[in-house]
Amino acid sequence: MAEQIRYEFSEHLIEQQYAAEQAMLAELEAGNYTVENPLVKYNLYLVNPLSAVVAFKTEEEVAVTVTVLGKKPEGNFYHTFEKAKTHVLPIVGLYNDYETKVEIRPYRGTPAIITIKTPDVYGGVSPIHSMETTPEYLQDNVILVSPAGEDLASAFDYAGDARWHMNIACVFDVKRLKNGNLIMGTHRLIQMPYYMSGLYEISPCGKIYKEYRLPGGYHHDEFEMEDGNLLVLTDDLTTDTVEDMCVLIDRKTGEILKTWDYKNCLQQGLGKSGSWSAHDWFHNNAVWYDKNTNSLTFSGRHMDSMINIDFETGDLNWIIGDPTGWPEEWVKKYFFTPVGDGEFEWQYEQHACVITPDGDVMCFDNHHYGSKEREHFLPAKDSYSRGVRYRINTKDMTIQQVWQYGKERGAEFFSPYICNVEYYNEGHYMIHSGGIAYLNEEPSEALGAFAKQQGGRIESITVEVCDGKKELELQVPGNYYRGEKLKLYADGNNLSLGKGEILGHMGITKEFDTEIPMDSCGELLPDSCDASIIEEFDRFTFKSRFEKGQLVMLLLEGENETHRYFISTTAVPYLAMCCGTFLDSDERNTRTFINKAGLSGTFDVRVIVDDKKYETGVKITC
Amino acid sequence: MAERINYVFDESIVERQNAAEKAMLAELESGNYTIENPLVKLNPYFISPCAAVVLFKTEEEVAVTVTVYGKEKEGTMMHTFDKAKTHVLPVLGLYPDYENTVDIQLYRGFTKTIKIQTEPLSKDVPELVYMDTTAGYLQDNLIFVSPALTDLATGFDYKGDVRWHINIPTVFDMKRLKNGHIITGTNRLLKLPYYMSGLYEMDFVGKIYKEFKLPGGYHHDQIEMEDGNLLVLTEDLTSDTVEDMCVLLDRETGEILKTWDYKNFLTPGEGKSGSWSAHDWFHNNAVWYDKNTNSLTFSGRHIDSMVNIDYETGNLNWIIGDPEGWPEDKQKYFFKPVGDGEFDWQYEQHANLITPNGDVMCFDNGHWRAKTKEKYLLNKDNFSRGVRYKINTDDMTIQQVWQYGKERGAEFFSQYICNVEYYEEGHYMVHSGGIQYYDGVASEVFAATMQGDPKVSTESITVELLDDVKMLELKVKGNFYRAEKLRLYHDGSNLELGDGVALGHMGVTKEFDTLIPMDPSGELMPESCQAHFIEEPDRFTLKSRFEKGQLVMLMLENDKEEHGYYISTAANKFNALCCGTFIESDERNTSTSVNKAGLSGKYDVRIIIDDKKYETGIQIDC
Repeated sequence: MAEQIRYEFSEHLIEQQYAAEQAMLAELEAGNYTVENPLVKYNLYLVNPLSAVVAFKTEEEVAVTVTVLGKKPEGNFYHTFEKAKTHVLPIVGLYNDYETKVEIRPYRGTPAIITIKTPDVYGGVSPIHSMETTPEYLQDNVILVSPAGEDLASAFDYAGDARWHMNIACVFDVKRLKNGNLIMGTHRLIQMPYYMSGLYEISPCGKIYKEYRLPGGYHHDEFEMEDGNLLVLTDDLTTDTVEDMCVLIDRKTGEILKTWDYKNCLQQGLGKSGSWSAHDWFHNNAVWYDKNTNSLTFSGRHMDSMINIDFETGDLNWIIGDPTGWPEEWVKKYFFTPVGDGEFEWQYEQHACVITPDGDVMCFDNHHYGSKEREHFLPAKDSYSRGVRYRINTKDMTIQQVWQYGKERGAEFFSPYICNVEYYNEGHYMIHSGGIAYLNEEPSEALGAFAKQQGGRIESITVEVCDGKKELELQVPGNYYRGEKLKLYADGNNLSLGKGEILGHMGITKEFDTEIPMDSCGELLPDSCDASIIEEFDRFTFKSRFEKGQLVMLLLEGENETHRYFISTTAVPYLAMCCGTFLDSDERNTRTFINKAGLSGTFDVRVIVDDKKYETGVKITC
Repeated sequence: MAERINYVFDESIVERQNAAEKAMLAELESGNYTIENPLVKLNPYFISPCAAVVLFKTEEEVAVTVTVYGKEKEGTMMHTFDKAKTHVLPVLGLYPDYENTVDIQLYRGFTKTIKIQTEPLSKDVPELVYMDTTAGYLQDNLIFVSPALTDLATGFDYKGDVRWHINIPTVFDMKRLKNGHIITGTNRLLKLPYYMSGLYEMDFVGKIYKEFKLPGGYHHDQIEMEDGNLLVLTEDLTSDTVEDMCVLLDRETGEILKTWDYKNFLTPGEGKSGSWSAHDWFHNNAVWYDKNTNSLTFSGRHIDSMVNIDYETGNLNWIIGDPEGWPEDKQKYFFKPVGDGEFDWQYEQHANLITPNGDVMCFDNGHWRAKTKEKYLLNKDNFSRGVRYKINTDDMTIQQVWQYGKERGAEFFSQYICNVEYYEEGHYMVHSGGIQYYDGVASEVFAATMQGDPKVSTESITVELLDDVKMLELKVKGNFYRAEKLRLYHDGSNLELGDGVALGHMGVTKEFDTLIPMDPSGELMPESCQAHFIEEPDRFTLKSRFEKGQLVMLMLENDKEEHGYYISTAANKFNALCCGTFIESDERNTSTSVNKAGLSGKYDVRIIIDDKKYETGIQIDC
């Protein structure tokens, strides 16, 4: 019999990337790599399988232009890097399952062409249905879609070719920062269904510069302030509610500078949407800062509302949403009255609120249920989703709908969850309906991840319109949280060497109050549990299979103290699943995440299953 | 009989604007101007007739959105200004001779709709032939054309409607600076044909923030360095040659930090183009700084060449041009065409630029299209084009990687002026602004010298291409030095209050060596001279008519000293006339400017015509 359940220590990605980078630099130093004979490292940073790094030296300081040659010239990506003698150049935009040619040319010198072969990162399944646009419209931009299910982030060029991909589950929003880096959720799940350890600031080639860890984790959205600090949506995972907090974090140190708890400005249980639950009463899926009013706008799916609070005081300013069912004093004080002759509809279970430069409010109106009252709830087949723009007057508290796209497409554009809109310019928008699901070829009542589990078909449609004209439509299989348009190469260096930083800290994992006195049976957890422990420097994950209804507790037993963590074995019905990436197809599988924060010493890991306490044979030192 | 010739004192525009702005602000302070009742000033800075300023106060700090309604919705332009209590808001993009509708909206509050009736523009607006593009492509950009003949700088929207115009002859290049301001040549002619006092840094509302004065004047081109300082093309007007110097100006003080004299790295008389003259041996019409090689590239029309020198040492690096006829010792600087692709050298080119990857582009006018007289092409058999060369400075080879225009033949031919712009790989503007016909055939003579001849017609064609797809073509009547694509509103304030300043200084005007001893006749200048005397704070100008061949000298005389300035009455034949804006249609009219720099005291102004010294009745104080 084995003396230990499966155990592995997983090095943090930043450590792995640093080791790979150091090894590459050592190889560069040891060899005689020139522009004609460069060192080529495919996917050096491990997470972007459509990238590489090319390294070589030149005798003189010289700028270098990299051109990733497209299948047609319109598909070329290029960047000129500043002059240097040692060149470590990120190559992004490689085609999938292809021998991509890349031209490396010293400034006004003789070019060398190398070929970089990529495997089929999609395992033989096409990641796209169609891309309708022109190279003149999309130019060197790609449309990046970020995960809401098991399909990971990808980006597509004007021809619909995948040119960027991540092989780890970095979820939720991807935004470009002012310095050219990207910011996105980490792939480190700290609590089901999708609460992540924090954010990665990352280069498009996959190099992680910073992990911002948050005690309450990260979900859904983040926003860069003018000074570079970050607004991040979080929760307090030791309380009974989720998705009802926002923090401002210091970009340099990762420390939390300011916290907003929505329970201070709202009342739980008011304005319930069709998907409301006591646990997830607000379901905050977007944040926007507006400097003209020094205020924050939060989208709360489970209130069918976008709320605006003062940045300094946290006081509630207004609520955009259908006032039906809200108490009179709230309606009077905070809600808007539609005016004008134009078409008007409220948004329901919306996502991705945006403030335009002139103060209008946009969102993706999922229009899920389409009403505040159960008897009027719309079935999926009669539903529609849309991008919408409202003009509000906060003096006389009136609202007008000044634009929408999507209603006319009906159920084929309906996403009951996720999605976003982007404002580029007056009249120039993206509308991403990323949560379309069919079951038995009918629009599905169940959200994408569940529809797929039941054999359904899911897809995502991304549209761009300019002055009412459709300029782009991308259709991909799979559900995708958001769409973003960006260039793979940014102004700036696109890759900085050196070790990434891990900032902020993890929270103390919530413990179970009640002690169950019991002696260890001395046996290892049964094989049927298929148990494993994956340790990281700041936490560990216990994976195991239990039967429904079993009483299970994870114990950390040290010389002086014991810590207890309850493991639920009842299948949880999720009413919101903005990111189903981490759902397990087998309901009996459990995943338990324990942060080392707050723990000190060496602990034996034991597991109580019903009336028996088992050994794991694993010791954890915190 | 009058006791003096016609005299005016012309305050500088900057001073007049400073006074007008103070008066406007005083009016705001003295009245009770609110959003319901704003103060509206059409063209308060005198020079921008399609612009207005709206002023009012609010009790609270609030952002304000200005919306200038288009004749159709795609033509609407808007800008949101930062929050303030005192609002002084530039309104840009007004249609001329039209009752414009403008919304002034408090951020999420009251909207005031005002009407602004603009005046018809004077006849110096280019006449549109057509604008062929889409609103989706051009969006809120205008295509600006800058003067080469009598029509003044003007901006056209996607529809071909004029949305900006300046009513003074600011000439040559117009570029946007990093702070959003515009930099362009002043309207103050120092010396014919087109040597201007310097540059204006201004906003589209017409407010001039800085006048940069240069002792040698300004011509053709300027470029902003990364640190904000300006490279400006100039000359030494006291020497025998012109258009062969460049200076670096301090942006804050206007002082000259560095000077490049091209006679230090080239030998005048080598590599003559068809339009060469000993006086204007280089004819520098463009400058570009390349940080990747820390070098400057100058376009020299009269040597058919683009020359590149080291920024620090001023040493010659290379020459792009047809090497035929250049001396043996210079051949090492020239490139050798390689490859199988089409290749043509450029002749009498304009507007060189360096692409991010080091390629060199220019507008190849192709005038004469040969180095030897016997091979010269007539204009009717010639072509002009935008061209992009890839050069290799290791093995001194050159390839033509792109061109647009050759296929259009003589209808796109401009013997002078014009430019190309690089936006992105494959995305360019090609502006052929100097098309001239005489009796329906491409003219061999400059139109500026034949003004009024009904057989002369001129036009300007501006094209934008994206991956070789034509996205825009603008055709207007007249000739225009360059075209630029810019938005009217930029991200900044668009109008900064406070006094504009004049920086730098004027040079000492070249005097005639030989003074002719002669007593004053006591008679006033004959009326047939139609003499005008215009004094400005830093100089004065005598405009007068003389018969061809008369010996004329302008004299400044007092007890202690005499200064003499020769006035040529021989009609000048200009081989290059990049800007004919200041050319008189009557050859007998002269304009003579004398700077006050170097002069001190009171002087009587007298004029010698042949053997008689006339009085002007004017005394000036320097």
